[in-house]
Amino acid sequence: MTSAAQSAARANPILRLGKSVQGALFRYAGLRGYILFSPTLLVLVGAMCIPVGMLVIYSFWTQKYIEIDTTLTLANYLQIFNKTSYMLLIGKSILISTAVTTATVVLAYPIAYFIAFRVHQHKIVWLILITVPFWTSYLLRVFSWKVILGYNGVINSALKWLGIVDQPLAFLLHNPTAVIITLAHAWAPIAILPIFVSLEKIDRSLLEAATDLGDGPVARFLRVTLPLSIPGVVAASMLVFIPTVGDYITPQLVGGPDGLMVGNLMHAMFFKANNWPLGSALAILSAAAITVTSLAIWFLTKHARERAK
Amino acid sequence: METNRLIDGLAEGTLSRRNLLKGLSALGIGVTMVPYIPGRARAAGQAVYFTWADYEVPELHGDYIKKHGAAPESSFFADEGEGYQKMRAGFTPDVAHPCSYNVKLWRESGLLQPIDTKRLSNWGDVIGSLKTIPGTQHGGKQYFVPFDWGNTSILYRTDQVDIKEESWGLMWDERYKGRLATFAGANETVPYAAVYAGVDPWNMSDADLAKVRALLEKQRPLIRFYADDEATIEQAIKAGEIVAGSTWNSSSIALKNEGIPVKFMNPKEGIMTWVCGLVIHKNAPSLDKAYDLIDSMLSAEAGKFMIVEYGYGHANTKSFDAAGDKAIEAAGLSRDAEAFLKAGVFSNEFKNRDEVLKMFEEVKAGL
Repeated sequence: MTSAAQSAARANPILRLGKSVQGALFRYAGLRGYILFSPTLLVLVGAMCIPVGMLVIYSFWTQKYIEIDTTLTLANYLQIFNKTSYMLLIGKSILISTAVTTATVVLAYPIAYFIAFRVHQHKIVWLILITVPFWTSYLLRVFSWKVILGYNGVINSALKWLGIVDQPLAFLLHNPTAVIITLAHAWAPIAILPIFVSLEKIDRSLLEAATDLGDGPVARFLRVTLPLSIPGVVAASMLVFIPTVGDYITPQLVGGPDGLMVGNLMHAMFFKANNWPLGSALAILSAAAITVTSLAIWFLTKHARERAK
Repeated sequence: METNRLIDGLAEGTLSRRNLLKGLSALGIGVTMVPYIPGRARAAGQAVYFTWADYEVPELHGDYIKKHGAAPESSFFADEGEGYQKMRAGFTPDVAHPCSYNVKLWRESGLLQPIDTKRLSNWGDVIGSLKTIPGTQHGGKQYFVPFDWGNTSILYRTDQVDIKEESWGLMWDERYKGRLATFAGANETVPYAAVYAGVDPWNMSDADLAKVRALLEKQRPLIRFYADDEATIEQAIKAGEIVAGSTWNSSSIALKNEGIPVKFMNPKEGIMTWVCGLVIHKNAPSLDKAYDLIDSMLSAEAGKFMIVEYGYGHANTKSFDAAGDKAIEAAGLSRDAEAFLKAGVFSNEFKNRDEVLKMFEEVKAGL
């Protein structure tokens, strides 16, 4: 009797705590929400906020041989701004990525259009076929382009065999164009899928209505299909543009000296030069440049759409 | 839920949010479980050897393999800068393979432990002058076991390059614009630029640094690519894409064996020489095996392989007897390591390392 009463008394505080937690959960919907998505929140804080915060802090520190001087200073930023060429490099990277994005989206659109409007059966097979390049490693895809564009590569061998050239063309590889070609191919599936989704969502009766009202195929495309698929195009552009600005593997392997991008310099600062603070400042500045460019694209398309209405 | 239904639903846009989430969570569980599925059996408890490519071959670890029945587990870095960052981030190999000029930095960063040379049976045969390279000893203790030594120089196509005398100037020869390549690492490329400029690479004043920088900037438009490894340079020379590139002895041997007409230059301004070797990580998990690994790599058999197959010098004097004079001559080496290394410009640590490294990165990026 006594021991049972004692254990009940010992259990009581826990029970009470449980009850109050239950009560709190019942009363505050917000708390329920936070608890429900706490795993996501933890991942987001742990994998995004903390590293980015560290990057920001590092960019205000300085490297002193092995140690990092933790006095807050703008030295890294000043160093970058004192040399216009640093900003020119970021600008060049953004230009290359813009070219990559344009090439990717222009080439992806017809494919997405074809699958959305012309393929009626087994669409999924087509979509899977498009992702096939993604099944191999990114590095392998870059190396394949080296093989295709290389000095004794597929194109040069073919041209030599056909007798069109007697010396291999050197301008195919190790320049910014090679970077653009390689990246545009590697990122194609990323662009096709969002455009496909936005085209697939278009109400077919709108197209019929346009035809009924006398629009030919081209006018119908320009006035109905294209404007309605712009959200997909914008999404695809962002998905390709943002990650390619910082890419360093493709420029290193196919870019040659002129194809090197800001990602290569950041990588070199972190690894070869052992200067994390300067690398961090560069990363922050190129992230800022990407943000500005992305916002500009977004505003421009928004503006264009509003004017079209 | 069947996979097909999930994918079809996804494609047709008829998938309910609940089913999509179900599918995604199944995928998530699958992905997180993968690391727990017993995979390929790892070489159980072997020493971890952190090194450059091509040093993982069993011929270099003969005694170790005999004793432990398996090869050490090799992990690679493309250059020592990358290896250094990886170790500072927490990677703990047993043995690593830096060159002598990086040992001081690695030791001061708390990555190394002193090596008890009494535990190395081959230590007595190691060439004396290699044991005392500046920066590799500290407080009377040895932190570095020399292993291989050789040159950095220009490898050029004798059928395509027309030069009167051998000089580093070939790397600035306008006639071969776009047909030259050099290493992306400052430790390989900056010193020869300094030697060509006529300044001491290891003690550069600000003025010297500016002079070297100007030379490297002048070189950049002539360069087809900056290479992270010698294999890229070898392939480009073989294909005829480039006619000359900076590289190491092994490239010369490799291409000559393939019948490519190449010559490893001995520039009049001085060829670069270097010594690389083995260090033990401060927290090496398998210390005994680390010593076994180093000892096996110091053996005369391993040394013979280095000389004959790669054309590099080896730390063990007996390796040269094992390799024979013909192989030594073919590799352009000498039994007298000290004289060989002194005949060239020996690779040391840059006095103002941080400045030099940053300068070269800026030059490469075109800043």
